[in-house]
Amino acid sequence: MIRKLIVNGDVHEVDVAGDTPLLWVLRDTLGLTGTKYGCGIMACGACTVLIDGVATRTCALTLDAVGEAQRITTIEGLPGTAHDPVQKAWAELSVAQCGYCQSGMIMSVVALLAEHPDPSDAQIATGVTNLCRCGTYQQVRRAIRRAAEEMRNA
Amino acid sequence: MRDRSSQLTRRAFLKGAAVVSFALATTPRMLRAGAPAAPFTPSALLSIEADDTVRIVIPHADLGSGIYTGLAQILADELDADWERVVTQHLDSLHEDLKHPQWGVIATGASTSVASQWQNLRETCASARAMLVAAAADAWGVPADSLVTRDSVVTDPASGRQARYGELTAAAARRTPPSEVTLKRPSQFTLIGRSLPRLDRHTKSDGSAVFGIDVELPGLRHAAIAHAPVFGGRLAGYDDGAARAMPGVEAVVAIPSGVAVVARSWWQAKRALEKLDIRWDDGAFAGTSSVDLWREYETLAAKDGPSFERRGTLDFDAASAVVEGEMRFPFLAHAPMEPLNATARIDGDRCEIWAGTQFQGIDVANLAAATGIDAEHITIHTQWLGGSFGRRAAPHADFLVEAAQVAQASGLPHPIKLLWQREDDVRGGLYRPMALHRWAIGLDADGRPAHWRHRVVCASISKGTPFESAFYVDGFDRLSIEGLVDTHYAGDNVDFQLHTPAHPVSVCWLRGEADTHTAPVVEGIVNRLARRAGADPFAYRRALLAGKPGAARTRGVLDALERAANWAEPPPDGVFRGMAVHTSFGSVCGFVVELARHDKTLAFHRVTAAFDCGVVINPDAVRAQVASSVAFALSMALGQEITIERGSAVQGNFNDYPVATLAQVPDVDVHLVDNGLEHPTGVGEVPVSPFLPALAAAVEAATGSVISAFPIRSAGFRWA
Repeated sequence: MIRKLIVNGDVHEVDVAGDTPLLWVLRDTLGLTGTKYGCGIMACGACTVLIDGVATRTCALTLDAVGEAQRITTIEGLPGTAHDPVQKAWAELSVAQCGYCQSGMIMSVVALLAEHPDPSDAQIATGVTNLCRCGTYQQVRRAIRRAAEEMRNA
Repeated sequence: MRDRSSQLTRRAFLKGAAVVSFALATTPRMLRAGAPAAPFTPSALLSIEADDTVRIVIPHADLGSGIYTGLAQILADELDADWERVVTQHLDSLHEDLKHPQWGVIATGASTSVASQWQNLRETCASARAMLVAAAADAWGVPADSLVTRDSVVTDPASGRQARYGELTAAAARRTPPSEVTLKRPSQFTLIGRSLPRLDRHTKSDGSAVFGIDVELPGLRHAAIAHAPVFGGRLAGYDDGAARAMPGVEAVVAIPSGVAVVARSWWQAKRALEKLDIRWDDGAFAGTSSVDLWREYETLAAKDGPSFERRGTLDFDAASAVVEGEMRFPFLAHAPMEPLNATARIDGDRCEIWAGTQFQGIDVANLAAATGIDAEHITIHTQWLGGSFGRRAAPHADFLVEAAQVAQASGLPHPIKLLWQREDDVRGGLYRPMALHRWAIGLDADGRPAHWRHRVVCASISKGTPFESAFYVDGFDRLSIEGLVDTHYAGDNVDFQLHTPAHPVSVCWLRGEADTHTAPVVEGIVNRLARRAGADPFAYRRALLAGKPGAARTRGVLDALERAANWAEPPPDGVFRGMAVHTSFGSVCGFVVELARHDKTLAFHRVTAAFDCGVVINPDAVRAQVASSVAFALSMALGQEITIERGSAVQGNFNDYPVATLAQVPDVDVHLVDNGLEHPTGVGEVPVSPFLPALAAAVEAATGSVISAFPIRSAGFRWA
């Protein structure tokens, strides 16, 4: 079935089985490989994108469950390390180690800071539940605070 | 550090450069006027291009520790290259120059990338720099030693003339490499020792870094695979009628390790895989569970085994007291965030692989053996890898071999990307071995270990692999006993024994290696002996290490750690602390862990680390490794465990094999310790192991319990 999908501001028509998780549509159909597969059970957050601004895990979210009018933002849809305060903080503090989980981590943080411009430690801890096997969490916390500060001063 | 001349003996280096010497007939000015010069490629590691780009082929996999940046810093520093023009490149050839300087094969592991390349890269670059300088000196008719280099420019201070490296490439390439080079002194370093941001920081923050799983090729097909659920099980047969009828399916193939479906997309392959009706021959292990394995291990630990370290005479009757204990460790899966995958294209007698792997040089041999394709016709295109922790250093190259076998068996001309599901990875073996330690220690009048009998029960990692001859020495796998065999704490009478049971659950190195069990045991013993003696754990260790020359760096780290953690000050009310220090991969790392206890809840109060890893290339990168190792260790300490039920792994995904979360992992105050070492030693794996006993000691102090197993089950207590 051909259906519409709005990703990073572009309207795509995709012909994919409706029970396909959004993650695989993004990766294999649209070629947006910045969003990652980590677990398939929405436990790790590597597949996090924004759907209408809400951080959403997509590895077990079927295409059928995504509305044609919903706006999906992937890591490729962010302004980049020169302009986006979160990505900029990530680059400046060299947060990424292996880097695999960081797209999902960044998307979660973008959503967190949209809701809480000056997040408390507790809000960071409950708002960012993405798993990082390398263990970059200390740098993640520093980068969140730096990005929040830059956004508040902007 | 002294001024050092280094003899260039590396045949590879000479091979890589043109061994032709004649006077330059041209000047940089003339070069500028002509066509773009060919790059100067003095080694397969390094190429200097006409536009001043310095291209570095990193001969290792970056598992996340940042070695692309660290190795580039070493290289660019000795070359006096313009850091802004340094570009790193993944390895995709098996050139001689790219071999691990100590191992003689292209491979990454044991936290050796920076330590082992330190001399090699500097010699290579000092030689290249000398050739660039000589080219300019000839052109200008001045002595080479009158010229200076900085930021990829050669300058003649007398005349003010300058030439960019990019202008000198052709002339430098025609020169003979010098037979001797002088390496920089530390005071001359411009990049080494600086916290430069990582070179991969942008592509890993904007989603553009291409990992193995992201490889896109024309005609790419996708595969999912089913493995035998029981360790040692084999395929007995399958019916693929329903699977072949699923959309997108192009092939169903049996390979030695399972059955794979090839489809247009990975999701289609996975869905079709679920429709396969597979019959497995479970084999003899199907009746075995963890409880049976532990029973076998306990039986072994109760009796003498072969001794790998024996000195003096054990006499427990002569001891003032004898303490006994045991500690057990489960199987652990690496669970890198990127599930294992590889893309393979078979074209007649040629094989191309795209994958993140630590073992290119070894993989090729495994691939050749599995496919029958000549090793010289196998190419591995290294990609970024989404974590590894040793899993992508697979002794038999399992995931790469499977991809090649699927491509071969499918008969399809397309490249095929085989992607494991998370469960394939967590249930797939190659675990950190389960281990049981049991000890009896006779104390002298001062409460120090005078008679130490120790038994380790641990399956061999290296036996039956290409590494057997390297690690399986005199009947003992070094990979089972590192961190214990070399302890400085033991007295004159020692009998350390190893039992090596075998089972079909495959085992492998995992970040920290044997030290992930030997350090918690040895440091745990010392902490308990100190407590028993009523001694401060720092003072007790100093007493044990006194007069032992091999322990000098440990003493330095103890001093630094004690100061950094304000150990002399008693902790605040409700705060309980523990410490440990351990040497591994040539480095020494210690931790003080402070826990706050409120009723029955534990929370981190403060974590302090002291780390001597020799010469520090990039301090921030090293600190990041210490902090992130704590997260890795915390996963081991608080929840991770693979158990076996009727021959299969019980856990399969992050819901039952938990990774420590941001909320759980504390900040770490890292202090880098300079004990005067003149070269770098291991970093990435080192801090994992000492954190475990420091945490255990703090938990024991806070709860009054005695920890005899990992993960730590602190009865009645929970974590905030």
